[in-house]
Amino acid sequence: MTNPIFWVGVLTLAAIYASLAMALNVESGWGGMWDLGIAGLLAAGSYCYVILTADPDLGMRFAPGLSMWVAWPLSALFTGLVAFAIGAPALRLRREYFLITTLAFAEIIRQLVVIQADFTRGTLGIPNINRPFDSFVTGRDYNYVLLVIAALAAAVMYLVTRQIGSSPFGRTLRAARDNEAVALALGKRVNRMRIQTFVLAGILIGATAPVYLFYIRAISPQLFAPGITFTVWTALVIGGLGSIRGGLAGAFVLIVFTEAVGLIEVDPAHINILVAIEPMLVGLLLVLVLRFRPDGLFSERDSFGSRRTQAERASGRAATASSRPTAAAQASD
Amino acid sequence: MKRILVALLAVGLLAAACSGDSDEAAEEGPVKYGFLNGQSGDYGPWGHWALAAAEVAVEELNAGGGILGRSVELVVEDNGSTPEGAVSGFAELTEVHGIHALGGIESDGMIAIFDTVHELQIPTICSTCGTTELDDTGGDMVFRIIPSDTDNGIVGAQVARDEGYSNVAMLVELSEGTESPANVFKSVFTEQMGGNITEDVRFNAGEATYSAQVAQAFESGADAVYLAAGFETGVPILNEWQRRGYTDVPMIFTTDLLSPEIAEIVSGVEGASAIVGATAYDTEANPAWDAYVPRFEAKIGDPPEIAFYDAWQYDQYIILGLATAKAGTTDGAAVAAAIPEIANPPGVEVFSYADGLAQLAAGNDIDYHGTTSNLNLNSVGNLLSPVMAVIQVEGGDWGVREYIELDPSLVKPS
Repeated sequence: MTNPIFWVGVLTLAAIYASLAMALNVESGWGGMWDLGIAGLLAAGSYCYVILTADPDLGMRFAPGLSMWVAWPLSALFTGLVAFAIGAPALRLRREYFLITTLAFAEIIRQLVVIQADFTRGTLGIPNINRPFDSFVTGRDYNYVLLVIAALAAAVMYLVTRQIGSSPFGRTLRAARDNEAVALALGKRVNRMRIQTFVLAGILIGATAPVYLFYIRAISPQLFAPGITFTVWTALVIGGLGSIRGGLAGAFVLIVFTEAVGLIEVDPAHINILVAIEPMLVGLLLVLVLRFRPDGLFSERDSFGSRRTQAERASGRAATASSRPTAAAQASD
Repeated sequence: MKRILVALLAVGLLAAACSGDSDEAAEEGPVKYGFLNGQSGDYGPWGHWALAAAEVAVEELNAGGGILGRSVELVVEDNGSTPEGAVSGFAELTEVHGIHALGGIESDGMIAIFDTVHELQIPTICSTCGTTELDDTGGDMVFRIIPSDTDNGIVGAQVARDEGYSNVAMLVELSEGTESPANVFKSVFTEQMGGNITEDVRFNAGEATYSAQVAQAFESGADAVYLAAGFETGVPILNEWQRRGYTDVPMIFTTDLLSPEIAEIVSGVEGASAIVGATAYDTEANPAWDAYVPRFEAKIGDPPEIAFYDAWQYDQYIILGLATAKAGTTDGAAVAAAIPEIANPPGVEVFSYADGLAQLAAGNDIDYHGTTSNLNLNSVGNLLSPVMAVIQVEGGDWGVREYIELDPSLVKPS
């Protein structure tokens, strides 16, 4: 049997991606803002954390050597600020224009990291990331600590996003996504809500960034290539865009499946075939899920339909047999 | 819905559970050497050659009777040329396959797993990482058998000085593997040699055109241009260099450009000025190299190439094999301690695993010489004083013009 430590690592990575996917769901699933800049926001949070906690001996121009417990929330706030700086101009755009703009901003952030080598060590990167409790638990056992941290982060993310999704704010957000004209007619300040959501997602991604670094243990610009964004998106689509549980489930299915495929043993001479097949199998998983569950493993209807029904029952109104509950109707409640 | 989710997870976990070999690195069964390398991603184009060289080495180990009476198994894992892939790949190699030692890793991945390698006591030889981050670390569990980017930068400046260039323009791709030697080159050339950098042009990989950058560098009045780029950006830059008629300006290349495709482009340009590169490639009158070349060629159908790092991939597993034999155990700490002992003098010079094993069996110390250098290591596990080959295009391919040693008066920039 496989050493459980390996699967502890896999589940840790899955929990990290689950956090990112749930944060993405807030802005993209509910807010309708299709963001391809996840890697950029993750880079902003990660570098903020590393710079604030870096060893002054590394020769970086700014290395205050803060405690990780101080740097962690500051990283989240900083990423929120970066999200605001991106969102203010980008949210004037819609659909594919917004999508391309966020992708471009992510690349700009990565290039800034490369160019500002005095602060970030550029392409050289920074090793030896500070990790919590590593003076108490070392070696293989630390993997369990990291799993607990990542699982806690994912659990908090789930509770926070669930609260957002079922709040009046979340309902209005989905209403604006489904029918902006109606939301505006109801007096909702849609643009302001969108930028608030974008900043909120940035804060959530920034809060996840240190956990990702605890897993990787080093940072370099290469870490934040667009591939990470597409992995988060794939997880969310598999799990169910707009669903409260979608990001969580999708990330676990995707990461566990990917790592399980990687365990297929072949003769070294044929490793290139396996390497080519791996993404195909992941693609096949995506196709199968979308074929049989077009809304993902969990649909938005699963997440919010039952709540609406409960609310209606509680208020004594007759239950409706509507197909998909429109967010606009809920927002007007 | 829940049933589908549970089924998917169960299938994944079941497949994984059934595919594993064993848990901890057992003292029974084959000796397992990990090969963690970018078989896909940025390093994918080199992966095929690197793996073939590693296989040649493992075949030699097994042909020599294995290690400690056990067969040797090469466990291959693709890291996708990313740090994240290196972390998960290393976890799979250690926790699923129970490897005893590791090779093949590149700079970014090595930095990511550096601490874990030490914690798990997995002897690791870095055969493709030039990162300056390893200049002052390592030597206890991590060793490097290629020149550091610091060495590469210094030798580039040395070549520029010896060629009589006092004004040099720089064209540098923004990546760790190219910026590191370029920054050392610039520092040594200007601060220790009094040279002048006429332009320092940095660019990203994957740009639609490099026309402006090429013009900026070649029209700066430089005696030569220092080009630090990867293969994929080097090709369009050289096409631009050719198209715009800058071929009378000599160039100095970094290691990644010393590929046959680049040689073909350059040799097809009539009247092109000297284009040189330098790397640790001491293959002259070298029995290890002479024995390696035909076996590699038989394996893959092509001779070894300088910039494909394959020879170093081969050397690392012969070192690990001899070190394990010397240690008499697969225990990580013991094998790591034996690596400098078999790579450094004093000892009988040996050029193959079989010869080394015979000398060890006879109770002699050995000093293994590899295909590319004597592999003598300093206290931090780096090559002690690599002999560098100055390489130039000759007859459509790269050929060694001369062998030089690093000028001891040139020091690593602080």
